[in-house]
Amino acid sequence: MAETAFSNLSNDVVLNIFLKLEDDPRNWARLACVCTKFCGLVRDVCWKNKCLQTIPSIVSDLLSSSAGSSSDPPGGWAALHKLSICCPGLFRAGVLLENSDFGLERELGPDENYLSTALGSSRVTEPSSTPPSSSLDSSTSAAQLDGVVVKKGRGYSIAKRRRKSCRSVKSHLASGVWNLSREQGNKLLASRFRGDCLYICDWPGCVHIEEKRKYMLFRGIFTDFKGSRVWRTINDGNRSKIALDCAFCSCKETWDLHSAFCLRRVFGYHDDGEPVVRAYVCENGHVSGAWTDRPMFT
Amino acid sequence: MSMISGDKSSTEILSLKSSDNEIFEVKKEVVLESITLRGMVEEDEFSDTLIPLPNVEGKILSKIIHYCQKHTEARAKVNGSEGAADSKEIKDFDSEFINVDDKTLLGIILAANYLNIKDLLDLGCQKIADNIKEKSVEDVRKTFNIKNDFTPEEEKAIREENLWAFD
Repeated sequence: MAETAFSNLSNDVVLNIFLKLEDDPRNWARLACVCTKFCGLVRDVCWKNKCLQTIPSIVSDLLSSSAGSSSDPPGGWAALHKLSICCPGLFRAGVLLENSDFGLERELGPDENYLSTALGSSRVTEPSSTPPSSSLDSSTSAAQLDGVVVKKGRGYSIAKRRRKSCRSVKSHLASGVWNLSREQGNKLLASRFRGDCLYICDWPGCVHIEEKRKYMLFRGIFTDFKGSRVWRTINDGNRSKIALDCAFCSCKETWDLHSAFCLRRVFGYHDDGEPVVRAYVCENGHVSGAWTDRPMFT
Repeated sequence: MSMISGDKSSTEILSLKSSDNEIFEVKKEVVLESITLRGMVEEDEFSDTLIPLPNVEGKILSKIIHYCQKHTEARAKVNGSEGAADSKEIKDFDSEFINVDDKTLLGIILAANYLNIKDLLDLGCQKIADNIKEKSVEDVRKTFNIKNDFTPEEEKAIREENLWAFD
């Protein structure tokens, strides 16, 4: 049996097989979980080539601007590929953050009356809705979804919200066209950041209809993030990160671009104080966020 | 098992010897389906027309020869007048041919790769791909005897990263 073990197949034969599975992005993602050899091949060959094929100009911008002429984009090929096809989900787009003060707590200091609810291990659902059809592979991921991290020291807390389904909360394949454009990025950033190069997915992104309002979740990436004015603003302003991890890479914390005044002011707020648009960026320049429809003024 | 051609044309017959010492006698034109063997034959290394294939066992070699024969014949027919009909016929043959257990399938792929028979390699790889598509991660490991060599931390991280693919 050993003579015909899969491990005896050369890499090009394994890749031949993998290439026949490229039509559904979930195939490669699942194969990456089988063993380290498959993981390496999927990351370094399959996902890399897919990015070169689908977003070649973004790749060349990323590689030409990276310090030390690295051959990998910041955060790696896995993160870039995931960003090109996956919606960050309501949680990592910041929609589930308890927003009653919209960042003022971070600016002004903690409010003792404002505490997070206790974390539970049960899945978050609406009482009247059917249970989510998707099942999570491990209890660890379930715990990570429910309210997640509370960092009292920073005066910022995250409470759990009831959600219709787990699927919309975590990352999933995005609806709509999987295309990233710089024009969309320009529409998001305040005018003094026009020189920065931010690619965002096309409008409307992945649409999530929630009870309060409709969210158009987007994702994107800064090419040359560390050379950008946004980065300088965040860095010089000594902005603190929030305990919201990046949807795409291993960064555990991100910066809130809305409260750092990097987004266009014209977007404003809804009656209940929720910002019309929000966005979060990680150390590698990956962006997750959500548009909402602009409120109708009477 | 010998497969000496019945017709009396001047087609040369070559002998292929498997790893377990089975001898197969095959028409040269069929042998030439393999790019590897084509190279060997053209280099004229084997004056006694016996080609040893220490990497391929008899059971697999027999199947490979059968495939090559069928495809050589099909190609000859296309040059005649029965193009479209043969295309369906060969497709039916292919799907039945490759409908084998996993061990044989891997054996065919390894041999097709070594012998450099592109169509057969693609056929085999497509079959494995179709099999994998429906399998869970654990089943892929079991079927193909793959060891899970992630550390628990690595496995947790890679699953988390790709959770979206498991719906």
